[in-house]
Amino acid sequence: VSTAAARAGPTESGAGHRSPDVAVSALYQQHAVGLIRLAVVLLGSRSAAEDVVQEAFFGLYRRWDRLASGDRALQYLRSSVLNGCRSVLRARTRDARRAARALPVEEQLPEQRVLLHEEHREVLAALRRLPARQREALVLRYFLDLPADQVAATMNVSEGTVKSTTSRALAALARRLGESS
Amino acid sequence: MTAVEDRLRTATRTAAATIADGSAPPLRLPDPASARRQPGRSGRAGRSVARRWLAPAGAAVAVAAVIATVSLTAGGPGPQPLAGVVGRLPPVATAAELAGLPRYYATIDARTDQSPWRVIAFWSTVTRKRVASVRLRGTISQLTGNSSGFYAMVDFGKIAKFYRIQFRLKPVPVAVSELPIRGVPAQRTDYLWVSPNGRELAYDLYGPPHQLKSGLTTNSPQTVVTVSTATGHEHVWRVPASASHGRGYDVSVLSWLSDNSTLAYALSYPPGGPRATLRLLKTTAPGHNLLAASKTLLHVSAHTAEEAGEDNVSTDGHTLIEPGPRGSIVSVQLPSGHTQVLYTPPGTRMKQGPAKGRVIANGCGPLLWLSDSGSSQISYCGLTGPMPTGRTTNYAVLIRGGHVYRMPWRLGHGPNAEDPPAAMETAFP
Repeated sequence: VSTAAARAGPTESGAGHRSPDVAVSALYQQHAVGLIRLAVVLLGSRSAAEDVVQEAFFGLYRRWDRLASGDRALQYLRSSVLNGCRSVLRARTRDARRAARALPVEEQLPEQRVLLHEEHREVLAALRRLPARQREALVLRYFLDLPADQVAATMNVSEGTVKSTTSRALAALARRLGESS
Repeated sequence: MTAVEDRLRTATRTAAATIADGSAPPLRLPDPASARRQPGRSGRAGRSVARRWLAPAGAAVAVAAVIATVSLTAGGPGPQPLAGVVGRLPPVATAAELAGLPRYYATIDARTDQSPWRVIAFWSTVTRKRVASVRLRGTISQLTGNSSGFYAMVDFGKIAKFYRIQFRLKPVPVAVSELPIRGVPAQRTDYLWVSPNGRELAYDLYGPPHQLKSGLTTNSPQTVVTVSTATGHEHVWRVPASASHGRGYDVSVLSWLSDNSTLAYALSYPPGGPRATLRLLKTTAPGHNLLAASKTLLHVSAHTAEEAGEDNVSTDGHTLIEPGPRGSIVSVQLPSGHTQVLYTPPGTRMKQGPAKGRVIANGCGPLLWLSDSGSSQISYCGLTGPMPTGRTTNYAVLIRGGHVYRMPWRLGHGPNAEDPPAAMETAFP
């Protein structure tokens, strides 16, 4: 899967050169699928992922005038998607398991059930049981292939924190998967 | 690249491949005029909007509260499950309604994501005021408590240690002491429970890794540990490899019974469900065979390990409270298995955004507190807000004697209150 759409920077620069509608719509065309994929990896649910991405673009639209540079739009969107996924997972920890039971078709992702090998499901389940920051660091680093400085900027932490968090996360993931890192 | 990195990269990309190119739904943006009117959360515009809607909203809430009160009190205890919008339920108000409830509840918070410090705050059930707080360096992975105090499992790097937190009048209001318990590997425990007399802790433990018949390797929790809070003497119980026939089990520790020597736990198989058995472990029995030292209480179908882990057994062993379908709270009489739905929160129809028209079931669970007889319980309920935010508002709901009340507590506040999972799941002293 190409993650280039979520990884590449925007082609626009200067937030105020175009109207928010046009600029945000263009960004959506360019990056929506990549960001939905990022959210799907974190959440495991397409409908929730689409909601999170929609919300991120909605937030970008509302704050467009305050965005210092269009170059930062993608970073803003990535951070916004991470925050949105974290909120969904927090809520899901308590109550969306109930929703999943009530709405099995929506939450259990039949397409993923068919397409995902048991091996991949096991890895994703282990990934989703990691603490939020570890999970996000791994996804940004190994799914989007972002360098440490961009992971740090997206997560709003230092590069050193990214490296230590990633290292701990890999070790924890290895333990959960019964492997040695 | 290590094997784990390789597996992670492959799995995430395979999951992402389920989203086809060009399959994003259309972007929905508000019209510019309404977007400009969008108030800030604490801005002046927000206050004026709030003022404008205060009177009609207040009247609506009052009417709904009266209707809810009448409808809930008229029937009394009966076979019909209680239902109602959680946010509009009547709040607990009178001393009679509060009688017999735990005195305090705890929340966990962190100043920032990056902060190594975690704050455990204790709140009065009655006054709703913060009575004490303690700051711990490390990640609080588990927190439980009863009248003997609160007990925390705190991760320090790769090792988790155990602490007891008690209220005192002198010399300091809160006393924190590390228990003489051997440290355990961090992040390998899902459940921690303290016995009614505070002398024993019980927790589950992941690993060691073993291979399933399918060829996969798993380290799902198959071990239960009971350990003395006074001496640190521990007793390890395991599912023998020969008993699982290569399928593997998940073990979820649920609760202690009042005799301080019986532990209720759920056994889910294969790992991740879909079948679970509720069992009682006699912790004074000799040996280390978890299955041989315990007896089956109830077979539960369609329960994954995580779902079974949110069940709770009253200390008298007669009632099982569990999350039911459509976010409801269900009471199961033991050992007969007779089931009664106690409370069903309504669904929310999304009004905006891509989810417009979709009904989201608001959910209740997990259980925060259960009385000894199982007749009263406090559950954690979520109410999904209107789109586009879709954020969930969290409530604690008291179900007692055929009535349901909203506990007017501060839950999940703070920027990082739920990360790690906060003390909402904590028992109360």
